[in-house]
Amino acid sequence: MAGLRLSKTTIALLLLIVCHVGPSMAVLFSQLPKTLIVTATTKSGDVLHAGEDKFTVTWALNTSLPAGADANYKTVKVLLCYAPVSQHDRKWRKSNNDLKKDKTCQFTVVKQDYSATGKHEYTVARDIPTASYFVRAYALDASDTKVAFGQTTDANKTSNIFDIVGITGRTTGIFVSAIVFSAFSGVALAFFYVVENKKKK
Amino acid sequence: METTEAVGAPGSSLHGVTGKEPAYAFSVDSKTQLDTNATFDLPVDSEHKATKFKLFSLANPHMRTFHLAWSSFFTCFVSTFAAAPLVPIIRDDLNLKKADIGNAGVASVSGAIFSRLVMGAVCDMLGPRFGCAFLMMLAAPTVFCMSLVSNAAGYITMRFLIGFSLATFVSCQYWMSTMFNSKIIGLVNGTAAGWGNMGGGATQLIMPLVYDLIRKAGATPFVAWRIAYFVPGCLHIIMGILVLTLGQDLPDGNLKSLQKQGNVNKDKFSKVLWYALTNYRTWIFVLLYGYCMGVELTTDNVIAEYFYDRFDLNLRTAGTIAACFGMANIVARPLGGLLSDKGAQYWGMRARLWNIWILQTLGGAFCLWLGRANSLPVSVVAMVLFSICAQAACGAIFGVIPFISRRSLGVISGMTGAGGNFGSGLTQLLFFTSSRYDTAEGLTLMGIMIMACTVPITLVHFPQWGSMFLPPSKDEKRSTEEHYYGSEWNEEERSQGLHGASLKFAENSRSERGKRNVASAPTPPGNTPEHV
Repeated sequence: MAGLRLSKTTIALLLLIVCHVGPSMAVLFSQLPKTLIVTATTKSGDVLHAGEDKFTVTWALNTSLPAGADANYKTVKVLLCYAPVSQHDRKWRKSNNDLKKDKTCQFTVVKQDYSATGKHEYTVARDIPTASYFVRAYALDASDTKVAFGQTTDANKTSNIFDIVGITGRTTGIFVSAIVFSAFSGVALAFFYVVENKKKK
Repeated sequence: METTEAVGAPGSSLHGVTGKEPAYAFSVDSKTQLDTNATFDLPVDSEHKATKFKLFSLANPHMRTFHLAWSSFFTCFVSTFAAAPLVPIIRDDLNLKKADIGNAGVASVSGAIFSRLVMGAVCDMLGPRFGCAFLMMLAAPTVFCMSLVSNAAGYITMRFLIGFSLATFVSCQYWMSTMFNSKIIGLVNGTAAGWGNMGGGATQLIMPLVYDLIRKAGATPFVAWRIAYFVPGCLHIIMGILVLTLGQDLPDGNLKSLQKQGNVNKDKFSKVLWYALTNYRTWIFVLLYGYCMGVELTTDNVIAEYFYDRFDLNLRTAGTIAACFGMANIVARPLGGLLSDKGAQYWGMRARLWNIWILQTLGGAFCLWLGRANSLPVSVVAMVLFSICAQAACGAIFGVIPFISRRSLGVISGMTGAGGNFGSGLTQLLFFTSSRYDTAEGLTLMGIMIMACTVPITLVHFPQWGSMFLPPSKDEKRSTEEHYYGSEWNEEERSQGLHGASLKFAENSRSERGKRNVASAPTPPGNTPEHV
């Protein structure tokens, strides 16, 4: 009898642990319905400059869907995503079907409450690196889980790809400082060497 | 006698590197003549080299030299590996691909292979103080110019040029051999080498910290990493000036006598080189060192980015974990030497060889585990164990190097050191540059390669002491130390008595027979091995 009770407790404990610690079901990109239609004012091959240029992104629920399809959509998150050409040889930007591990979309354009249609004017942030991009929007439910998406490009991510030129960070101040410090280093060395040789004589 | 040998002989700039010199290399007996008239802070011998090592003193000139020398070497390690923890930011700024990052890593360790050789000659000509200062001050512009790169080619070029500064290893060791008596030079140089290597770990802490501070001050990421590079650059200038103003070449500060005796070449370089190259043990140890020091340098380059990407950590956390790898040098390297010495006390040279094999193979196994680990805690544990074993193996290898050859010791030490850098470049090229393997796979393969490349140590056989699996030779003539070390000199040289130092060394090296030694020839007094 005691043995049975023990095993029941063990099972109860295990269930408790699994329910709290066990991973939530992985959200797979391939299973997300493409219910949003996302367009942006950028055209294929456009070159935008970080910190200066703007574009407007518009999203709307696909009207051909039955009513109530967006019942659980609470928020919309629009992201700037790397095109395949910028993911090549760069595993830190790799696409992964498991959205927890997916690194395609690393920059948020806007996150706001869901409405059946929406638009946002975005000035390219100063820290966006030089690469080729497209825009994707996810619909999130109340628990911030992705439930649907839409993107400006096709399934192979080849159409409507635009480029952003990042700000390199090589400011004039840094340029001048580097030259000055380097020159100081050379001059100081020469100075000490000459002084020492004079002292020897 | 000692000074000329220390200054003029080929490869002499690497004396003291090996850690076994105190007992064997020079004809110093236990009653080293102390110069009691000298007014130095430490007791000194007749050449005014210190005979004691007081770690926490800054007294001029001996201890001050020690601290100047190791901190210059440390600074060069900081600047050479400064990019590693910042790669996640740099790769986006410069639009780098994996191949670019890998090639830059290869470039960062390759330059030193050549600059080390040149540095030996520079130290002979200008003295170690100017050699060190020249390198520090001339490398500073390369560090500053790293802030100006805008593409992959520039990045790779600057990392290559900054890597030249690792030659301060040679000036550091050379400088201390002019300041410290041969009885303690092993301990001094071993400590300096370990503390300098720590720079590779410290930089993984320093650079992300500086980067974070600059970001908090308002800079964007791509500006912040460039400003952060000014820190190692300024360290170069500060250390260079300190060396120039506070340092001196000799205990008496007299550079002239150094230069005068520097022209005395007691041995022919071509012969020294020949005996180094034709001894098969040299090549085995070059390979071995390439897979303990080499993998240490490789890991310094890749580990921060690995933790950042694999476990989604922020820059500071990834850097802190990566730092644990390099910082283990503070104890791990001396530990390897200590284990080697302890083993040799009982079982002689065979214990030293087994020690190396065990440590390095374990290191490879832990590296393999690191590559396969899927969770953060397991990864960190595997990394720490890997670092301890690999660095201890480095220390253990330099416990055996002095016994490979007496005549060509300097050249062999230099070749082994270069082998470390070469191994690092090769490993990064094979496993961390192409897109075929991701970093985790690269680490796994590196672990396998370490274990495979350690196997050749089973082939190292000393006729007088044996090898891992074979006992010493039974032949009466060949089983003596004198025969082994004497065979590096031809008949003509022997008839001239040029091999005297080798014979003395042979006599002193009898302790490598282990406990067996008690039964054979009596150990001359005052020649018990120094423990590093």
